[in-house]
Amino acid sequence: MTEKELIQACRKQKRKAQQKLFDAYSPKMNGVLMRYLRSKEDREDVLIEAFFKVFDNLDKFRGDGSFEGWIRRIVVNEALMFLRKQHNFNMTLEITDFDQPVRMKVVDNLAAQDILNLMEELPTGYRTVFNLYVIEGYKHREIAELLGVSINTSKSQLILARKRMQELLKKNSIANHPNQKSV
Amino acid sequence: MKNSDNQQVDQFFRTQAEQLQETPSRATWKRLERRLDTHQRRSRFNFTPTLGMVAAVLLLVVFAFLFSTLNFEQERPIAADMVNADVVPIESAVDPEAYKVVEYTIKYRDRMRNIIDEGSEDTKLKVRQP
Repeated sequence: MTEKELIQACRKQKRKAQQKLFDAYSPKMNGVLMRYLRSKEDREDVLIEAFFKVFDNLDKFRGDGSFEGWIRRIVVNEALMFLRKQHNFNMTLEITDFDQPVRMKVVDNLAAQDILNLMEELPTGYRTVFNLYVIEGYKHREIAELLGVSINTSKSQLILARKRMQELLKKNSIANHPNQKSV
Repeated sequence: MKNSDNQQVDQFFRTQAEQLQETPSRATWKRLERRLDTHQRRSRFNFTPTLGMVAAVLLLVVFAFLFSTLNFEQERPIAADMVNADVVPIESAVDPEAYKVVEYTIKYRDRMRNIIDEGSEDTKLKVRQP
């Protein structure tokens, strides 16, 4: 069954097709959620709500872009809605000097799990902005809109997140990777 | 220089983050399935009130029609026709009960036609004698 046929069957509320689609995309989407939410229970709740929205809004998917990208946007939005209920993204120190970007170095033998462990150590605000800007590729204007904060807050959080990440990387590389190599 | 460093690091993070995957438990799909089932049932119920309302309106129309037909027949008793026509039927020609009704109605109708004056302290209301 092709992706198009699977989508068509899901639009007709065929449960088997819906399960097939869930099985195909949920591991990756759960991986996306792992970067935003620490608790497994929270991830499960958000994943269910996100896929419910995917099935409920399938008619709105026109098929112009990537289907995975479309699901991913829904999943990220759902995670942000969840975080906004629990966290005030405005309660973050705002810095004014944006001309001093943090120079980051990272060891090249860091695995995906190491990256996840590092990100889990970042505070929620930093982690969310870092995720949205660095991994998802959103602009500060878009992040500000998504989180309900000012553009300056988004920029500040990213700089502070990079700073903290650099500290964590240094700590991590000294502890686990004596042969540090920058990329 | 510093920015290009960050771009490299960002790219590294992006590549590594894409590899993160975790298959959710079977219970997650079961929960989602229940959510979808509930939603479908609700969608069906949402359609039911529309049908119910249509049925209720139709019933109302039918009842209104039946009621008006019955009333129409009741409003035209023989006795009432006779009262309006000022014709007092011969007692033996109609049902004795109907005759009494006609007689009584005519009597009180005539009384009510008389002008009622405001009375004194003794008689609060009194019928003006023609």
